[in-house]
Formats: sequence, C-alpha cells, structure tokens
Amino acid sequence: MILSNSIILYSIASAFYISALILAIFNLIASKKSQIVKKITTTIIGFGFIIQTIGLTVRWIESGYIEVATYEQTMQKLSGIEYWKVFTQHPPWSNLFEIMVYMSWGIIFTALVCEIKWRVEFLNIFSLILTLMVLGIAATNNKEIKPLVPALKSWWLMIHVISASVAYAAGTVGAITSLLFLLKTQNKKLFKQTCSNAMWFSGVIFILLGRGIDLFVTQIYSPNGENSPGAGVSLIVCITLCLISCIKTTKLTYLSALFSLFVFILLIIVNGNANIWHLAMFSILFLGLFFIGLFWLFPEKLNSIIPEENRLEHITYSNILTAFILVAVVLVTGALWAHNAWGRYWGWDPKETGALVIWITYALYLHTRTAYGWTGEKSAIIAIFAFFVMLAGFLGVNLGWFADGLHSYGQS
Amino acid sequence: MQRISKKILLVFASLKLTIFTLLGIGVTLFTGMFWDQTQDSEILLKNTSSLIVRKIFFWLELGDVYHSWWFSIFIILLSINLIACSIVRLPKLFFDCYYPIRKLDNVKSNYKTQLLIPKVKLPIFNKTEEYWTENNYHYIFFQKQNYARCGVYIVHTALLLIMFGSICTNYFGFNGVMMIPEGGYEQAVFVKGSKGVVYKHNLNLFVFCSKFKLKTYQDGSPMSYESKLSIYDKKNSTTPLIVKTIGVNNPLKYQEFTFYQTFYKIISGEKKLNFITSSNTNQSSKKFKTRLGGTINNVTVVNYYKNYGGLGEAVQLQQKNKKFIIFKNFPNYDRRVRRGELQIIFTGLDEIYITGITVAKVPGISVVFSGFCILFLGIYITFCMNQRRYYAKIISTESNSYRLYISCSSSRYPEAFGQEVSDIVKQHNSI
Repeated sequence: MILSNSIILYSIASAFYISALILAIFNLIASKKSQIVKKITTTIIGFGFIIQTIGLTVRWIESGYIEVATYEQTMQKLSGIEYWKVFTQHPPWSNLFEIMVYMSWGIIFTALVCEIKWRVEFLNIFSLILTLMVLGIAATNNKEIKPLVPALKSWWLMIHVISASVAYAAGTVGAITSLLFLLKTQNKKLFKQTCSNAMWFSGVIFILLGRGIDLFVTQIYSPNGENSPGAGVSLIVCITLCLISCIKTTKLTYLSALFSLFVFILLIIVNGNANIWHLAMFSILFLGLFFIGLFWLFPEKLNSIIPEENRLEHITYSNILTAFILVAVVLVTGALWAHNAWGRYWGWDPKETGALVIWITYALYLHTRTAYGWTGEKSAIIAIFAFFVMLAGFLGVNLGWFADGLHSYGQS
Repeated sequence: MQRISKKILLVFASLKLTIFTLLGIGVTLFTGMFWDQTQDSEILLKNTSSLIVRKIFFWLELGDVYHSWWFSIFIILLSINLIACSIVRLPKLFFDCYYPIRKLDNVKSNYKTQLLIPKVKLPIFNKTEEYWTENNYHYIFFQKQNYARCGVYIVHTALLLIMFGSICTNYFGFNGVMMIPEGGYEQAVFVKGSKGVVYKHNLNLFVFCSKFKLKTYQDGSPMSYESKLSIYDKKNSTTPLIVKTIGVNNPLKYQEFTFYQTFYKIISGEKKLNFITSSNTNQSSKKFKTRLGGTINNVTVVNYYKNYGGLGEAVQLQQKNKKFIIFKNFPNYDRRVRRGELQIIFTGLDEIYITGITVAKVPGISVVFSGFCILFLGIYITFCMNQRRYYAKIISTESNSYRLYISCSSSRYPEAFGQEVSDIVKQHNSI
C-alpha cells in the first residue's frame, strides 16, 4: 500500500540511526579509538539521512496524490500546471507528526554538516539520541495524511517551516557543543556550578510541567487527568532536591535527584498514562543531567575524549549565528504570510511571540559576545539557556503551557 | 553642562542598557504568552476577588501586556539605545572607513610578520593595492570590503524602521471584523481598541456579499471557502466600484483597506429549503427556494425534520388546513401517495452562511517591509562580509636583499583570515 511507504522508510532510517548510535557508544567506551569505526558510523548516519530524505520526498508525493484525489472528488479534473500546483501544495511538514520527523531530519542534517566540517566526537551521540527521541515521540502521533486546511495552502509554508527546522536544529547543535565546552573546561568548581545551574533550570521546568503549587498541595501528578500512584511524590522529591541545589550542590543531592527523576519517569511509563510531551521533556532533562553527572563523577576519563575548547567554541558560534539568521527568516516570512492571510503582520500569537523571544535570546548571545567579550563559559551558558527558551517557544504551545494560538492546527 | 549631556548620551548608548532592555523585553514577551492576550480582562479575572490583585492587574495592564505602558517604555528605551549607540559610534566608524590609516608604522593589527627575501614580487596583495615611497621606504596598503563594519548599524536601522512602522500601524491603522450574511451587505467594522473595548467603525462603503461558496472534504472539514464581494459607495448604487471573489490567502484591496477571508459561520435556525414542483396538467417543472414559513403555490412550509421516523430528511407542508409530509430520499412519494394536483419534491436544504471578513488598514506596512529588506541586507553585510586591511613595508638592506614587513587586520573571523595571511606570507617566502 502506497500510504505506508514513507513510514517504512522512516523506520529503516531509525534503524540506521540506532545502529550508528550503538557503534558510536562502543567506540567511545573502547580503550583504543578506531578511526575506521568512526568513519563507518558517519557513513551509516549518512545512509540513514539519505533514506529519511527519500522518505520525506515519498511522503510529499503521497500527500500530493491525496490532495489531487480529494480535489478531483469535489471539483473538475486537473491538468497541466494546475495539477502540479495541487500536487505539490502539501509538503511533508503540515501536522505534528510530520513536523517532528522533519525536525529530526534537521538535527541530523546540521550534525552531519558539523561532523564533516569540524570532526567533533560526541556530537554524533547527542544528536542521535535527540533525533531518536524526537522520532519516538513522533511515532505516537497520528500518522495519517489529511488534506491541508485552507490557511496552510500557501507557498509561504515551504520557506517558513524549512528555515524554522534548520534554525532550531542549529540552535540544538549549538547547545550540545556548548554543553561539551562546559564539560571540557577542566574546572571542578565549574562542574559543580554547571550542575547546580542545570538543576536549578530543571527545577523551574519541573514546576512548569508539573504545575508546581498544585503538585505540592495535592501530591498528585496528573497531566492527563489520571493519577499515577507514587509519581507525584517522586517528582516532589526531585523538585525539592533541585531547589536545594540552588543553595548547595553536593554529589549526594545530585545523585538522589537523578534517582528520583528516574523513578518518576519509570512510574509514569509503567502507569501508562504519561503525557507524551511531559515524558519527552523529562527524558531530555534526565539525559542532560545524567551526562553532566557523568562528567562530574569521572572528570579526567571523559575529558580526554572531548575535542579542544577552541573548536567547540567556534562550532557553537557558527551554529548560533545560523540559528539567529534563520529565525529572522522565520519571523519575516511568518509576518509576510500573516499579512497576506490575516491582514496583520504581527498579532502577538504565542508561537509568534515565542519565535521573537528565541531571536532576542540569540541576539543577546551575539551582543554579549562581541561587546563584552563573553566568550567561553559565559556564552556557553547563554547558548544552553537559549536551547531551553527554544524548546519553550517552539513546543510550548503544543505542551499547553501557553494560551492557544493560531499555530495550534499543527496539533494532530 | 556639556559633560553631563555627554554622560547621559553614553549611558543611553551603553551595552548594559541594551542587555537590560533585551532581557526585559524577552521576559515580558515570555510572560505574556501564558494567558490569552486577546481575552477580555474581566474574563481573565473572573476567579479573583482580591482587590489588590485586581488593582495590580489593571495598573500593570496585564490583560494586554504587549500594549501596556511599561512594555512601551522598554521599546522606547531600546529605540533610544539604538539611536544613541549609532550617534556615538558611527562618526568614528565613518572616519575610519573614509580615511583609513595607510602606513604600516601607525597601525595596530592582529597579524605581524617580517621576511628577509632576495627579491620582492609585486603586487604583494592585489593588483589594486596602493604603493608609495617615503624616506626610501616603500609602503603598500590594500583593503577589502571596507564598509562591512557598518552592517550592524544597517541591521539596527532596519529594526528602528520596523518599530516605527508598527507604531504607525498601531496609531493610524485598524484591524477589525466584518460579518456579512450571504446576500446581504454591511458597512460597519468591529474593531477591538485599547483595553479590550470593542467599537464600531464605519467604512463609508457598502460591502455586498453576493455569494459564499464552501467546499468541504468528504469528512466534512473545510477544503476552501470564498466569498464574492462587491463594494458600492452608495446603498442604492447599481455599478459596483470593485468586484472580486476572495478566499483564504487571497485578499481584496480597495483604497487603503484590505479585505481578508478569515472565517465563516452558519446562521442557526435559518435555512433555505429547495423544492421542485410540477403539475399534473403540464410537464414543466419549476425550482423553488424558500425559508421555513414561506409558501410555494399556496402551499406553506411548516416544519423541517432532520430524520423523520428513520426515513431521513423530511418537510411538513400545509395546503388549506391539510398537513402532509414529503421526504428527500423518496422523490416519488408525493406523486404516488398524495396524488395532488401539484407534485412537490424536496431536494434538500442549504445552510445560510455569514462570511467573516477581516478588514485592515495598515498604513505603516511599506515601512515595515522595507525594514525587512534592509534587515536582511544588514545581516548579509554583517555576517557574510569582513573588513580586511593589508599593510606592507619594504626596506632594501645593504646585502642586496629586502626586508618585507607584513601586517594585516580583519574585523571578523580571525581563524579564516589567519589562514589567508599565512598563505600570502608563504607565497612571498618561497621566492
């Protein structure tokens, strides 16, 4: 059946990514690093990327057939230019499932470019984990191709979403490299600071996700309206430990916070009523905290593997710069489209505003860098902070943090 | 006095202020995303009875953060900051661009090197380089993409233009909703003003919607919808000023107004019923459209049933105190069962739609769009161009060889530039 072709291709691509991830991790753990294995890993990722690209194209063609079929059911037969206009009007990024797949494509694309250009180890692993996670979340959404709603029938959709995907992917890669940078600077005090900062941020995000005060009062975590027994308590323990770490971070608080977060994630998975978005956010946080913790616990061992600081710094800068420029493209194309469709170029829609906040954060990064000379640690922290702002701005509307806006038709 | 004004200017031009305002704007934007800013304040406050909370809410205009006085202060601060920063830094920059220091002895640069070579090959850097002799020393100066450093200011100008344009739009423009029933006309637009007050704005134009067409997919979700609009200057005028069928992403422009198709609604309770009548005596049949309570050839339409006794859509009619029913799914029912003089077939009903049109007057739009163009030009100049300067000095030594001093500087991307310079040095060293 033609409908499932693109999904089969996505699955094959995921299989490639998983095998590449396993290879990369083995090569990392192995005492003797093999250059050949590294090259093979990159090649496998490359193949996965090509297959995913073919999958996207196939999806576009499938959507094209569906658009043409539905058009011809209600209207006359199409021919010539009109046919192609209807056939190509539905790009493979028009609902939440497709957007997530497309975002994962963007992350792999950016990571591959960085890999080929700068040869950074570790970047692979992080971006593969993120990609697989994004693909995993995508798989839980509705995969059906539905004909486009009238508002999306515009060529602005192409350029608007393409630039958004690459921009946010570049921002993500920039955040990963700055995390590596922070870990590389062999300063134990800084490790501790990074940990406490990370936990502090996490605490805020937990509160946002778990609707903090409610949680503390009722001790029930129920994003879907159902109670997961025990999850609320473990989340409260985790938040408390994170908040304590604002004052003092010790290995004990860190590890127990990590453990309670792990228990929490396990419980919501076992209970089976996890809000998939919350699960994804908590997992990202857990992995981030876990990696930082690894570096805190075994600094010397892991430090020797990470590339030099200068290179990481350079990659971060390039990625954030790309993100900055492309978010500007997103904002401007969005404004032009909105002017054409709704009569106003700016309407303070939550997602619109979110993109502006992201742009301002990147502008802050660039300004502090050039004017204050905040290179290194400080700018790395801003880049990581910008990643969280990006998550909030991009997914916040779908997560239900913010008021519903005009972009909510992206939901499945 | 002069010193104080200079100090104030420096405060406004400082980067600390930029960071402060950017942070302020970022945080404000972020908080504003948490609740619906288009909602009426009273609806947002319906669960709050505390007087202090209400007072703070209204004082800070939290119902519409993006139009509040303190957000405006942030925006004004940012504009002043941008302008002051340009006033302080641009003259120096222009001076440097117009009259660059040309002599190697006077410059500070990132890359310096000296070579002892038997022969000097000219040109050192490029064919267009400047060459002159002073006190038996030979000087060379060359520069590339001289104005690249102005890119930042172009970006800032673009931002100012965009802000200026949006202020114009806010003060001199409006954006409202007009609802026209199919076959009707409208001349008023409902505009939401400051503090959520909705007022009526008269266009002095009559907008007539002669037809509304909704196409749906098989599952009932809308595929496209369009309205045929005609605009008249007088109510009884016969010739329209302009006629166009507008759809989503396809607006109509007339004078300074633009009409956008944004939504549609079904008028509840009002439906048009379609009938075909034919009489026994002659074979000709006629099509009729009427509403509930209307009559066709002395037959009154009394009632409409969505599903009458499991037989589908049906209509109850009345002719001289005699009531009867006809079905949509059984067109021959009336002819075969009632056998009256007039046969009536019910073919279904049309919903009556109200087309929702956004009417906008956006006076600052050209300024904003030119701002966008300039923004991208500025971004291109800032990040893709790089001001590079190359200096050289040649001294002939006594032992028939030359001492070549090279000194170079760039405004951006030092790594790539360093590579370029070392290539040049290698080239001359190998001779």
